[in-house]
Order: sequence, then structure tokens, then C-alpha cells
Amino acid sequence: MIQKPNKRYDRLSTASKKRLVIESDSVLNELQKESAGTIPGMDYFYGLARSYSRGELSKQDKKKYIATSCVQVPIELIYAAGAVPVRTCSGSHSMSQAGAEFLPAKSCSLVSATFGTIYTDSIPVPSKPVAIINPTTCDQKKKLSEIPSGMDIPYYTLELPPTKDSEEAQMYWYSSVKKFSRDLEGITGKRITRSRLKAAILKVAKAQQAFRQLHQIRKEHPSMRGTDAILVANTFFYDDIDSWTQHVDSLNHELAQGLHRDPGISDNNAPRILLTGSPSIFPNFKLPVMIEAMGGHIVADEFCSSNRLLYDTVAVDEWNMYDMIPALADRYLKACTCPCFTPNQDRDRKLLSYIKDFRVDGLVYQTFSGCQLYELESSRIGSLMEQENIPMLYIETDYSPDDRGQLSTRIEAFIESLSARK
Amino acid sequence: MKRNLYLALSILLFLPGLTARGQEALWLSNLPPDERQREIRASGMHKLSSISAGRGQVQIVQWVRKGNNVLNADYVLNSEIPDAEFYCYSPHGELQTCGVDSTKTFKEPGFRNPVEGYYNLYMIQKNVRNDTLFVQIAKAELLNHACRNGHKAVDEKIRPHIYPEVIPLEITRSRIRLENLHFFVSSGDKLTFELSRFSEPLKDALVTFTTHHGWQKTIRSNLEGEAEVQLIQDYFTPWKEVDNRKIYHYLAVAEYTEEQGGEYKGQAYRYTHYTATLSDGYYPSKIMYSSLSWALGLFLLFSLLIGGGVAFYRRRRTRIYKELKWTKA
Amino acid sequence: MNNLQRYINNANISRFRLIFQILAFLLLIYGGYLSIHIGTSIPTFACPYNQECPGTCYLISAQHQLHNTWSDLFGFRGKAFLTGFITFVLLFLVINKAWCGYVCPLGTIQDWITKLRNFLGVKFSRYDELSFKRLKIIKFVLLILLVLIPLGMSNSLLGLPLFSHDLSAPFCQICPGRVITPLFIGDTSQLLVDFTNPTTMIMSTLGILVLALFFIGSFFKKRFFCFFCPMSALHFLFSSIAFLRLNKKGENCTRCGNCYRVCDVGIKAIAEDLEHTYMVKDDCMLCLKCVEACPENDCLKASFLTIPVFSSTEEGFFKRNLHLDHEMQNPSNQSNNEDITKNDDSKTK
Repeated sequence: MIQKPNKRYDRLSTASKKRLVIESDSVLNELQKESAGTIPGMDYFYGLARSYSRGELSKQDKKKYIATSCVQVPIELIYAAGAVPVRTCSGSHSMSQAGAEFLPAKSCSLVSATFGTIYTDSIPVPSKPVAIINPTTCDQKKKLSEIPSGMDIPYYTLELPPTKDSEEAQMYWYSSVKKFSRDLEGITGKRITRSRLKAAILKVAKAQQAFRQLHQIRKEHPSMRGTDAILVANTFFYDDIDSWTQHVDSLNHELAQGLHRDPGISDNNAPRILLTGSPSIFPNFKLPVMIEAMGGHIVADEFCSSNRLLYDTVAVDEWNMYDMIPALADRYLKACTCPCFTPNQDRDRKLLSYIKDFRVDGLVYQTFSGCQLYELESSRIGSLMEQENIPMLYIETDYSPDDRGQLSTRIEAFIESLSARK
Repeated sequence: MKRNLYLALSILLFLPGLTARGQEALWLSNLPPDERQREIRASGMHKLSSISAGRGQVQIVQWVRKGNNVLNADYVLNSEIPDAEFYCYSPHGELQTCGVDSTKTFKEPGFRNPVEGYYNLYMIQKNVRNDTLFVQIAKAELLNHACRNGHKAVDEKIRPHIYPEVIPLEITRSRIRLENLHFFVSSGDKLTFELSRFSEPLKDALVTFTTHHGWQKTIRSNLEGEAEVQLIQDYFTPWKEVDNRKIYHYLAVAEYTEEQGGEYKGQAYRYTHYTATLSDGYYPSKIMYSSLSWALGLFLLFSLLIGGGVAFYRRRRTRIYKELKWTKA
Repeated sequence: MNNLQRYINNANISRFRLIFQILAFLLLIYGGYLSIHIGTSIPTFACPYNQECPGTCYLISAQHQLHNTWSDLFGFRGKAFLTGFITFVLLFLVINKAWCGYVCPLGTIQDWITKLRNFLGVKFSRYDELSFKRLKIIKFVLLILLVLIPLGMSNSLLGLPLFSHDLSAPFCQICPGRVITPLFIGDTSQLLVDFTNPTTMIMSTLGILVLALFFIGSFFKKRFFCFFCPMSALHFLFSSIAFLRLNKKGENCTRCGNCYRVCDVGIKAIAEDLEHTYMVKDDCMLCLKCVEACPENDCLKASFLTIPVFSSTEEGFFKRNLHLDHEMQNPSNQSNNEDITKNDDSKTK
């Protein structure tokens, strides 16, 4: 185990950070080239992503930062406790290499990238996070907290049940969230009061509204590249939430006007692709960029990091603590289609409803090698797609750029077959 | 003091009239004699005696009784008062046929197919004795009501009517404030009787009021023709003796004499003595057998117990982790 | 038409319901002052013990009508019973269980008590699944007793002796409406214990107990009494053929559970059931809070016969939640857009 003030560590850390910048820049350049400035509203998001890679996120004075390693952490509670949540899931290949030392060879790239980010102190926030909230969702993330790394950011394990249908599981999750809220108060030193929690819920609800509007707009007509949309969602944690919401609103406004139509994507004959599986998180846009380069149009995705990030809503009956916290808990458990839950019929139904709403032609199922959860579900989803007569392309990959050649061939073939079917 | 003065005056002024007393008052009663019990059904909310007239139709009947003893008064036979005239007015003031079957043993006036509201049934019996014409007016105010007919136009239905063209002396029970179709006199109520003669209030008439158990009170009507009496709470000290569903009866007899001569059926007379009677039922008052304070007390007790139980349960739940229990080994 | 639908779908139905409830309450408690008469087969509580009631609830009519011998019941009195019953069913069918949610004065009182509890910040209670299943039988038991006891008072059931006359209108004797509704015109005479004989003592004490349960229960649990109400049990028998319906489109449901979470009477099926369309189950009182809380377009819908009255929409959900006036820029509203492809009904109109 490497101790912190150590030459090797310093070198690793600096190198990883530099390479992160290179990776993200290359992706962003590609994205900007493709969109050719047709949507001015996207500039803000490109800028945010660049700042993220350089570790220069906006400073919110005197606020404490709390890192999260999964989207299933109730961020409203963090806001209510006076802190700012930052998701540390990373798409950086260099970070995954940095973290690979401590993880087994076959581990999921995303998890090792997350760990790498934490380990190399690359969480791009002005002050060091006071805690890392680690929910017990997938196996590998769950065990992250135990890997000794000499970090002095305390891990907090948020207990999530492995099922979501039974009353016992829901009750367990309620007590877990209640305990979490109390412990949060201890971590940040601020009390979660009724008015603060209400304000936090409404703040996030505004972001949800803007986000869902974008989702609806994409349903209507192909106004935006799928990669751009994924980027918008990925940048959610990089800025103050109100500012992000505002920019998404103006982006929606622009798109709704229909004035900035990229000729490349108004082509109705481009095969409409639905992405699902292990999430593509910035800067790991290998697969989405490749698909769009080959002529496919990503209309939607079922990634937890993009389309599922802000989709579900919180319904509060009585705006008191005893109802708001269970309402939050329900939002993060009940509608979640992550395969860490069993049974996961909701995911099948969600995919089918997206296929119908977005008039999808083909499904691309991405898994990272080592991600057993998504791999295990692939056969079920495969037979479902067969039933629905939707072609599915199953891709197992990781963050390394080595398999680009092979992937591009397969994707090209897939997209051609889809075009032929149309 | 004043009463004694009145009594003295009345004796002096109406000395001849004194001889007129001694004739028993005739009154209409809802209670059937024992021999007729089997055929009689109680109809409507006020339990009017009725005989079924086939196909869901009823005939309301009353009986004529005599005497002041409400409990044991004799039933008047058909043969005793063959010339009695009967008048039956519907709630709208129309004269109806009042059938009196002369073949029946008892004098049993009745009317068919009643509508909603107060019926006024009168019997006028006249006879001459000792120079005096005795006019006995027996009245019954019968309220017919069944809830299924609705509760519209209550005020009109309960308004008391008088018929001065036909009835020489009227006695009516004044309606209390906010009286409705479900009203029943209870013991303990203040009753006011209004006397009128030819639509004018009759003052200074003697009213005798008798209850079921024999309590009696004599009053004089005032300038407005009103005589007020408080129906005493009957003596039901052990509450087991209270039968809150049994209807007891009271009797109000109003008497008035005037110097009016004439001839009736070949007999001459110099004075006319009017007797108007009204009998009705009453229930024992509610406070004899029900308690509001007990109810309030029990309500508060139950609320405390239940509320306390819930609060205690919630307390327990936050401390002790809820576990499964196996009830059978 | 589209604009009207959109306006209704975005409306705050809970506020509308509050106002409607107050109006219905005023009508059913004070209607007699205006000499209004709306019959004796009302499918909700309108207690005749309150002198100024404009009509009576069907249960009391039923209990009185059933208090007849078999021969009478199958004879001329049966006609009255049938007429009353058919009137009740027809009145009920028009707005289905919304009689419970929008009209019933006891329900309104419980909602006010709930608001008080909310204001005081006291947590509400929920039944767990097992208790829910067990307790919901009580209202059917009460309904059966309500029918059998009056019959048993005039006829010998199963060879038993005739029931005492003191058991007349048995449900009315334990109903909290009998005590509460006269209180609103200042009449406290129904809050009593009747000491005439053991039967009346027990029945009136039971009545007081139920009254205490009503208040304390509805303080801690939303719409506590509705769970045990025999009128609700009677409604349930005809609810499936009623005109105002609550339908669900299972394929649009994400199982987020928002509808179950806001449901006052705790119907889990609204969130869990993805196969059936008709969702008025158990004690549903058609308060439409579930439709308000559903963030998916066209998933839950209240419709009268087949005309949609109030559907769940994403726009409506956020509007209500955020009290925002910001109108969702929906491309299908823009007339200069030629590229609108298939316009399926999942779009906000």
C-alpha cells in the first residue's frame, strides 16, 4: 500500500490528471466538431466538462463537499444538510489504471476509475470532501470502502436492500435513509430542518423538470445528438445545481424552437439506437461517439448516469419530516431499474416503453468486463428483444482504447443491418 | 290568594252552574279497550290506533271514554250516546267522513287513509238536565306521520286549526317553538292550552288537568285564553320502572257555563254548560333514563385510553426493533 | 377542447376538492334550513338525527325498510324497498366512489382533522399489509349485521327468537354521524347513554366508543373511519359498473410508487398492479390524489364513461409541485414545426 507523501504516488497522481485532461479534450473536440456549433446552448456544457477535467469546478464558498459513488444516494438530503454532492464515478481510462493496482484484474473499469479518482485526489472540488457516501448497490462498489488507501476521507456505507418489492426491504431502506440523514447532520454539522429539506427537494425537482423536458423534446424530433445529451446529464454535478438547471432550460428553449437543426441528425433514415447497460460516463464516450460516427442516431439511453439520473420524481404528501424522508427514500428505491435489484422486471418494461416512445430500431447493450450484474441480465434482455423483434448488439468492453478497431467494425455492421431493415 | 278569590267569586256567580257539575266528562282516547286489542295496530310515528282496511290501507280509530280517571276510565258503549255527532277534519281543513259503526259495541269513530299532518276529530254530545244544556265536546288532535313521506312543509302540517262555525268551544295544545313532525310530549314539559269560543280567546274558564297516575291540577285560563300547566315528572325513582317506550296519557278538561236559554229535543233549558276535552299521550322524559354527562365522560375516557395507547405504541416502536413472532410452536 | 383539457390536467385538484367538500358539507348539514330535500337514498352520510338534514342516508332507510316480516317484504313493502334500493344504486353509479371523497360530511370532517394533525406536525400511521388485509373484512361484517339484525327483529332467523326492538337501526346506534352531525346545528342531544335496559346501554356505550375511535383514529390515520364503513362496503358491490372510472395504463407505469405514497386510504394495488385497468378498489374514494402525483403522461386517468376528465401528466405534476408558471415548451404546441411525426397519446396536449 502506498503512503500518501511519496514520490511514486505524486508521479502517478500528476500523470493521471494530465492524461485525464488529454482524454477529455479529445472527446470534447470530437463532439464539438460533430455538432459544429449548431446548438449554442451546448457551449456551457462543453465548458463545464473541460473545467471538470482540469479540476477547476466552480467554487461555492464555505460549502462542504460530499462525494458520492452512486446515483442512488439521496442528494436532496445532502443539500439540506448544507453540503454539495459530487458524484465521483469516472469515465477516465487513466484513472482506472491508477486504481487498478488495488483491485483485481477482472474488476469493472468504472469502479477502478472511481477508486482511482479518489485515490489520486482528483475529485475536482475546491475543498476536500468531508465524506464519501458509498451505497451497497453493486458488489464492487460495496467493497471499495474496505480497500485501504491511506485516504483520510471517511467512507460512509449507505445500506441499500438487495430487493425492492417486499415491504421489509422498503422498511429497511426507510430506516437506512433516516439513519443517513441523522449521520449527515453529524458529518456536516448542520441540522436538516423541515424548511431546508423542502427547499432542497424543490430545487432538485426543478432540475428534474428541466431534465424531463429535454427527454420529451428528444422524443418529438431528432434535435440533438445522443452524445450531447449524455454529456448534459453527466455534467449535472459539475456546477451549482441552479445554474445547471437554468442552462438546461435555455437549451430546451432553443431546441423547442427548432431553429438549430443539425442537418446530420435530421435525416429520418438514420437508425435510431437505444443504449443500455453499464453506463458511459464522461470522458468514456468511446461507444456513443463511435455509434454516431457510423451513422446511427442515439435517441435515448437507459444509463443510470444519463437518462436515469434525474428521471424519477419525489411525491410528498405532507411537507413534514416524517413524510419527506420516506418520500425521498421511495424515489431512490422503487422506480430504480439498476440490476443490483432482483427481480428487475421494471427494466424490461422501461426498455419496452422507450422503444415504443422513441421508435427505436436497435438496441446496443454495453457491459464492462467484470460487471457481472449487467452481464447476467443480458440474456434475459436479449430474449426480450428477440420477442419484440428488435435487433440487439451486445458489446463487452472496458475503458482501454485497444478494442476500438474491432468495435468499430461490429458497430458499422450493426448499423448497416438496421438501415437495411428500415 | 288570588286563586281563592276566583274560586269564591265563581261559586257566588255560578251557583246555579254548580249543579251542572256531576256529569262525567267524555273524551276521545287512542288506547283500545282490552277486547279490541288484537285487531288494533299502531300506525305511523305517533302510534295511532288503526285497523287494517286491506291492501295496505288503514283506518284510524279512537274510542270514547268517560270520567277523570285517566288510567281506569270506562269505555263508552255505542248504545249510551246514540246521538253523538262526529266531525273529522283533515290537515287541510276539509271535513271528512267519520265512520261510526253502530253495530260495534264501543263508540269507535274513525277515518280512512290519512294523509300527513294533524287531524282534528270532534265529538259533540248534547243533553239537557236540570235546566241546563250540557254540550260535551271531545277532541282529539291526531298527528299522522311516517318518515318515508318526507319532512317538507312542516310548519303547515303542524299548525293547529280551529273550526268555530261548528265547534262551540275549542281547546288546543299550543305548539312549542321549533316543533316538528317527530314531536312528542314528554313528562316535565310545560304545556299550554288555548281556549277559544267563536274564534275569540276564552278567559276565565276552568281547566282541569289529570295525568296517568292521577295527579290533578286545576287552573283558570288567562286573558288570552291560555292555561299553562307543567306536566310533572312522574315518580319513577327506580330507573328500572321507567319504560321509555310506553305511552302514558293525560287529560285536559275545560269547562265554561253561560246563560243561554233555548230548547233541545223538546226540553227547555236556561243555562248552557260547555265541556271541551283533549287527551293525548306523553313519554317519560329523557332525563329519567339517559345521561349526557355519562356519555361525555365515557367519550373522554375512551379518547384518552385510545390516544394514550397509540402514543405508547409509537414510543415502543421507535425503541424496540419490530420482530417476527411465531404464534404456534 | 385541448386547451381546456390541458388546463384541467394542470389544475390543483386537491384545492378544488377542498372547496367542493366544504360546499357539500354545508348542503348536507344545513340544507334543511333552505328546505332542500334530496331524498332518502343518498349514497353517503346525511344523518336524519340532524334536524336540518336535506335528506337521509340510504343505510337508515334500508334498516327501517328491512324491519318488516318476510310476507310484507315480498308483498307491498318490498316495492318501497326496491325503489329505495334502485334509487341508491342509480345515484351511486353517477360519480362512483367520489361520493366518499367529495361529498361525505364524515369524510370531510376526517380530512379537516388530518389537516390539523399535519399542522401540528404529528406523524401519521399506516397499516402494514397483513393488518390491512385482516381489518378490511370488518366493514363487510358490519354490512351483513346491518341487514340481518333488522330482518331478525321482525322474523325469526334460523329459529332464533325475534331480536329486541331496542336494536332498531343497529348501525345508526353506533354510527358516529348520529352524534356528530347534530353538533353542527348546536344539538348535543345525541351524545347520551341510554340506561333503559342492558341492550340500550350496550348499544349507546358502543356508540360512544366508536365516536372516540372516530376522532382519535382519524387523527392518527388518514380517513380511519372509511376503512370500517358499511356504506363503503355497499358501494364496493356496484363500483365496477359505475360511470366515473379511474383507469391505469400499466405500460406507462414506472412503478415509482408515488400514487401509493399519497393515497389516503393506502391502496397498494394502484402502484403495483400493472395488468388491470380499473383501479377503484377497496376504499378508494376517487380523491384523485394519485392522478395528481403521477409524473408519467397518461398513466392514470379519471374518466366519465369514456370521456377523460383528469389525466396524469408530467407538466401537471411539476406545475403542482413547484407552483411554477413556467409553461413547458412542448414542441407539439409550436405551429411552425413540420417535423412532427406520429402524435401518440403519450404527449402532453
